[in-house]
Amino acid sequence: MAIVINGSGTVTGLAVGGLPDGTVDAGTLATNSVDSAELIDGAIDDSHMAAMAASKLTGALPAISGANLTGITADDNTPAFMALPHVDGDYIANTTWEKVLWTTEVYDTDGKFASSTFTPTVAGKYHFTCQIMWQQIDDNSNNHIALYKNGSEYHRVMFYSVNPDGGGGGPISSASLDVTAISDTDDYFEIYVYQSSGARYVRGTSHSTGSYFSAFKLAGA
Amino acid sequence: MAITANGLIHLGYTPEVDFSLQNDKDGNGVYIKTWISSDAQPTVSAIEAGAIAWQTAYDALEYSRLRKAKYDLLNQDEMRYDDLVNNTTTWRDGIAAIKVSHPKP
Repeated sequence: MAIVINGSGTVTGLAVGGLPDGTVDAGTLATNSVDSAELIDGAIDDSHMAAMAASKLTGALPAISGANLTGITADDNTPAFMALPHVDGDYIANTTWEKVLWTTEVYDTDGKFASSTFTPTVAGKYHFTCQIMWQQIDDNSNNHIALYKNGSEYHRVMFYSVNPDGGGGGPISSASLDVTAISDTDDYFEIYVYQSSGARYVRGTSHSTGSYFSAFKLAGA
Repeated sequence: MAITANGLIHLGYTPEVDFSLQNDKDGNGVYIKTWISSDAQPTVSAIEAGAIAWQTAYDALEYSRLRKAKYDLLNQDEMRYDDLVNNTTTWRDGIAAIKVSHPKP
């Protein structure tokens, strides 16, 4: 086809491939002259896209399927558990550190609580709470609750029972432990108690004000 | 029998000062977690003998504990005052009755 250059400044007669590669550069195109209809699907790859401004992510956003999200991990407060001692209570010898047996699970989200031992297996920070309700603690007695980590004392609370019922030895006395601990994938946790009132019991689930042991993972911590 | 705090107490040792006992409730019973005293650690048989002696001494004072529990139920100051004012013997009689109820072996 003949190339015609007319007096109006237009050129006709050019076919696709009629210009050598690189002949039409950015400066040759008019500003805003290329719209999306002129682009092939996928023509703009990641390296040719600027970072998306936060201002573009406001207002009514399109629904995004969770399956299309990557790099996001679900983090909740599990594993978590709560357990109670036996309904008849748990016998604790005098002036001896005794592991408390928690025989009744209220919940155990991931099955990580067994044999009165919590082994989260998921690394993270965990918050522990334990309340011990004693039966018949003597006046001026020495009482402790300790969270053991891997068989060793990690955190302890202590209290002295002084005339808890106004004199003559208290029928009931309680104390609680709250602490956060870092757990690896194989760390395990138990509750030990100590009392100096003689043979005593940690009160069981037959009492509405009984004892309990619980923990949960701190999400995002 | 086994290792007990009472046995060690009878031998003259103080919990958490001279020793610390622990029971993991794994079927192996109580064991000495930490021996703190500068003395040599007593044998298990010595601790067991101490526990028997401790229990004997404890049982021998049962009458005393029973008496005290009943003494505590009396308003003794008021009884003595009333006896002085009224020329009665309620306090002395009350104490004597408790002693009779729980005689010293």
